[in-house]
Amino acid sequence: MKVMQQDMFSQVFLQTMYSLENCQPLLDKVEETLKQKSAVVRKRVAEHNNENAPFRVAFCGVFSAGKSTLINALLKCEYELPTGTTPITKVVTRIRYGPELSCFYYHDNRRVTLDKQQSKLVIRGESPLPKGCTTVHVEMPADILRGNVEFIDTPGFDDEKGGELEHMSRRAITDADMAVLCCNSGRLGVITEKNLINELESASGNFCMVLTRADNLNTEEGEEDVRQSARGFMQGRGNLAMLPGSTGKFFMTMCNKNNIWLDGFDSYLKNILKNPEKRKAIRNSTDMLSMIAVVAALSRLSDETAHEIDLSSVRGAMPQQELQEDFVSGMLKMMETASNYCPQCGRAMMKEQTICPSCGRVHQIKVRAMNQETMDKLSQISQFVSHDNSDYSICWDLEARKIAKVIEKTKRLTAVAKIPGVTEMLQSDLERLYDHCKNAEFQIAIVGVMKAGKSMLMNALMGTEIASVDINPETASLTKFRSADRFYIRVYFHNKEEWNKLCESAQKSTSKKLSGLLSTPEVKQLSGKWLGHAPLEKRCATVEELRGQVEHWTSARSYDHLFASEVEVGIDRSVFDMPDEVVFVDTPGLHDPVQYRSDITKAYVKKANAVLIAVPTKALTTEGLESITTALDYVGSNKEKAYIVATQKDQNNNRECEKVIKGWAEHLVDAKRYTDEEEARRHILITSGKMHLLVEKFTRLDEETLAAEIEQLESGEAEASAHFESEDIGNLEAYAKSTLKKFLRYDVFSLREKPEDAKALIEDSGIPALRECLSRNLLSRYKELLMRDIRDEFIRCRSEMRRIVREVKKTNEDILLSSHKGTEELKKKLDESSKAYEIAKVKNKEIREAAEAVRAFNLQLIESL
Amino acid sequence: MGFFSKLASAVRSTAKTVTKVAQKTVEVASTALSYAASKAVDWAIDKLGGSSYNSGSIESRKGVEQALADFRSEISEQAKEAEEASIYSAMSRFDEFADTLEESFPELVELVRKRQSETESMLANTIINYAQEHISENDPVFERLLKMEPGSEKKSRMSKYMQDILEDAQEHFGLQLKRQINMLNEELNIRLEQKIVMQEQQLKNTEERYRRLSEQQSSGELDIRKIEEECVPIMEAAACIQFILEQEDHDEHMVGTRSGRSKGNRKADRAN
Repeated sequence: MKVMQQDMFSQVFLQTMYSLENCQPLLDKVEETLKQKSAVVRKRVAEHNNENAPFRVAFCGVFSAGKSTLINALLKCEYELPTGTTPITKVVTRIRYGPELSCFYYHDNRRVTLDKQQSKLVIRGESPLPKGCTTVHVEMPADILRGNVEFIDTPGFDDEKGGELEHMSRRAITDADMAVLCCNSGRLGVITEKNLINELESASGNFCMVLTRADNLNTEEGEEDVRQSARGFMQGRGNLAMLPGSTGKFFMTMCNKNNIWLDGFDSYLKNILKNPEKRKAIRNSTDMLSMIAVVAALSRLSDETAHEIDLSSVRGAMPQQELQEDFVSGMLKMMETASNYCPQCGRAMMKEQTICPSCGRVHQIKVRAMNQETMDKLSQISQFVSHDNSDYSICWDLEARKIAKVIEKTKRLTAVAKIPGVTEMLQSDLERLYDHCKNAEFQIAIVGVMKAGKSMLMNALMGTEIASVDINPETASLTKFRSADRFYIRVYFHNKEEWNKLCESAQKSTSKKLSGLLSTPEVKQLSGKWLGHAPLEKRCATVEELRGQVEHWTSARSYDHLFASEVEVGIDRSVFDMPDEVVFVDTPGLHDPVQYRSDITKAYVKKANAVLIAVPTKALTTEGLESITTALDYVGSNKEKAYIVATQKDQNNNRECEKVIKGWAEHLVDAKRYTDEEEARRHILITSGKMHLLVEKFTRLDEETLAAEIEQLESGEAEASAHFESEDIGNLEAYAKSTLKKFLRYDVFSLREKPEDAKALIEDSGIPALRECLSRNLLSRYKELLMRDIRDEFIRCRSEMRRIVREVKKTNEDILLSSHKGTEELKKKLDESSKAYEIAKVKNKEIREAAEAVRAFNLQLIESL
Repeated sequence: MGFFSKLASAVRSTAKTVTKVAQKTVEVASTALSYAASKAVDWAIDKLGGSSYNSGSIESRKGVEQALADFRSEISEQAKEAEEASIYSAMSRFDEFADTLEESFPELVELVRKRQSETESMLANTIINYAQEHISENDPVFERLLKMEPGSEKKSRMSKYMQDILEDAQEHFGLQLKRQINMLNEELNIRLEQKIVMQEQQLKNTEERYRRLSEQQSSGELDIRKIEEECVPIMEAAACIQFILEQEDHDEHMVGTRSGRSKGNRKADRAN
């Protein structure tokens, strides 16, 4: 019936449109759309009436998405569809239940049987079917197919549209009752998939997504990212009618030979296939959705033309009076229907809504009489809703990016419509929350005894030599290193107050070196220049230039460094690629004779998200023990964030190192820092930053430069070349010999030819393990905690914001409604609002009193405490 | 007199209550700690006061560290109990006040609860951390005491020092607690005031609008189109914000369900 109405209306619509001038392009579009959609509807309805028609499930997706593999896993039969990493399926394969395996195709209405081998060749396209045949039928005793179920395996879509196979796939999907969109987890989100989701949504709506090849995702984070993306793609889509929770449904599967994991997809599918009611519901809804698609298509067109076509002029253009009336009433009916759906995304819209809250489309039919000022406002709102204002610089957590996006949209919409009720505090809460999402920082402080190789460790972690290794212990400022989009150094300076404190502390210090230095005329002269100076930023063109700047501002070679309170070093990602939020911080020293400086470090150790305590790998000295105990004391109960990094392991062999570490662990347990030796051992990492860097340099330098530098060192011309110290090569050779357990001399040049040797040395340096530990244990825990805080605060702000907008909506709806209803209603509302105002005033007075009393109580309590 | 006034007068007339609560807070904190602390101090003094200390000797340092570790573990549980009891006792008024806000400003109740739990986690281990920082060789005063010749003088000065530090630790905790109460007090007052002003302003505006509309209706000047033009953008923006926030809520539930599954479960799923 609906189809007939649609067709009748389509006819009238078309006739009318033809009678208008200059509408040819639009008409072509209309005609094409109607033809397509009506054909689908007719076919579906015919199928619906035929109870013997099988329930068809089409598996679709781009080439090599793992469709056939997934089907094989579901069928669990001896016969398997051919699969592989390159595109395999070249025909549509329809699989149904049969008591035994049978493969065939139809040619000239004749059934042509294929044997197992032939069928696979045909499916692969290696043995072509006769012209005009595109489908292979397979019958097999698979349980899941019982009850008149048909699986359709499609060849797949690719980015290049319009290919023969793609056309074949598209036709097969149109034929199906529901679709399963297969996407490779490792390549999720290619354009074709996005388009396919849109097509499936408008073609039938009944589909779910299966993320295949989950075994390609190595980490939990990777898996999480993919799930987040899938959730984004499927948001509100894939309405498998009558099935609770089916919207946005997706599964992550793994079907390799050794392990099959279907994430519950098999049960989900069986649940549909074995339940006639659900099958019927899905089929009905497919019909209904097809019709809605027709209406949506028409309404989209009418929406596009509504403001261009004046109905009265249409009426004038119609030759017959009767047709005119039909058209106008039809048009109005169509508009009424159309106004229930968004012309762009097809979502249902409330009667009073003029903007689709999902896609931001302004429904032109509903706003035709609005004035320009209102239209401008609506169009601004529409822009804010539809605009993807995701801040892609927020990379540390996708949820944080999403929350930032929601906050930004909310703020903009609130501002443009001047939504009342948003207090200054709520605004600043939202600002702060956005800032937390955007500027998350994970600070890793490196502390330790003098000459423990802190800077070397830092350089090894960064993978490049930026921190000056011969740094003088006079260095007083915190130096932060982070990955950036350029090389830069930013210096923050002491103000006068800080400077005075430093001078005072230096005078009290047992070491008079600094106080002497601070009172020199040169320093005094410079103080006028630098104290209270605005932060100084300098961009550097190369690593070398940056290294020079770092040395200038962090080592005692220049007096300028005395005035720096903090130095931030940005290292181009091409050299140092860490997540933006990670910052390595070199600290002045826990036992600096100048207390002002050691206090800075101690305070920083408390604040930092992770602390690496660098101690040379040898029997504990009093200095080493002092560093460990001080750092652990200042870390307090949060001892999980501290790691003791045994440095310079290259100076001992592995057995000696283990012995030393065992001694440390025993002591730490005795001192109740850790409960047992295993726990203590977990918090100690043995490293050699120097060897790590040497191997990296030695294997990466081009042959010519390396040969020249070695020749220079061997000839004794200089104590150091551009990249190596005189003893570096010998040390590296000894380290390689010991690590690789070579009894004879090890030729260090073998490292360049045997990547496995170089890799073994890198692994043995302990730096990769330390990086992994920072990322796995500390960074992920920090992210989790930070995200929990952000989420909690967001939930609080969100519920406040929701209350405000609900209230605002209701107030305005009431005003509109009562204005329509007339005098009595307005009077009633006036009385109600006056009363509400009076009650609130009384209540608020009491609340204020109570608040004041609580405040006074607390002040007294504080005094008494 | 409404319920709120009752609360106000109840709170106002409680100079005695204030003292009681404060006393209780201090009592709870110190009683729990003092017994354990005095025992632990005695023990530590015996251990440390009777022996000599050489900062240059690793063995000597190790011995001190172990004794201090024992001392800390003796007092840590009681210190924690004392902290919790104090926070609980000092925060009780906020709880009562939060209940009174439930009807008019539920969002403030959420805030109070959140800040309370933040305070708890922020103040947790304050006492023990303070003690750890100062009853340690890292503290120059304590180090000087350690270096004294063994004997009664060393024992008595060390005992006094440790008792002082424990008192300082409690005082430090008290100061932190005060700061938190103060901050919560101030924040709550500012937010409440802003809320009240905003709410009253809105109610007044609504009343004004209805008054104007009634007058326009009576004089036949009511322009529905104009009202629509005024209301629609606000309603639309509000609806869009509501949708965006609810969508986020919906997604979060999905995230919640997902993250509720442990890694172990996932592995089990896969194995199945």
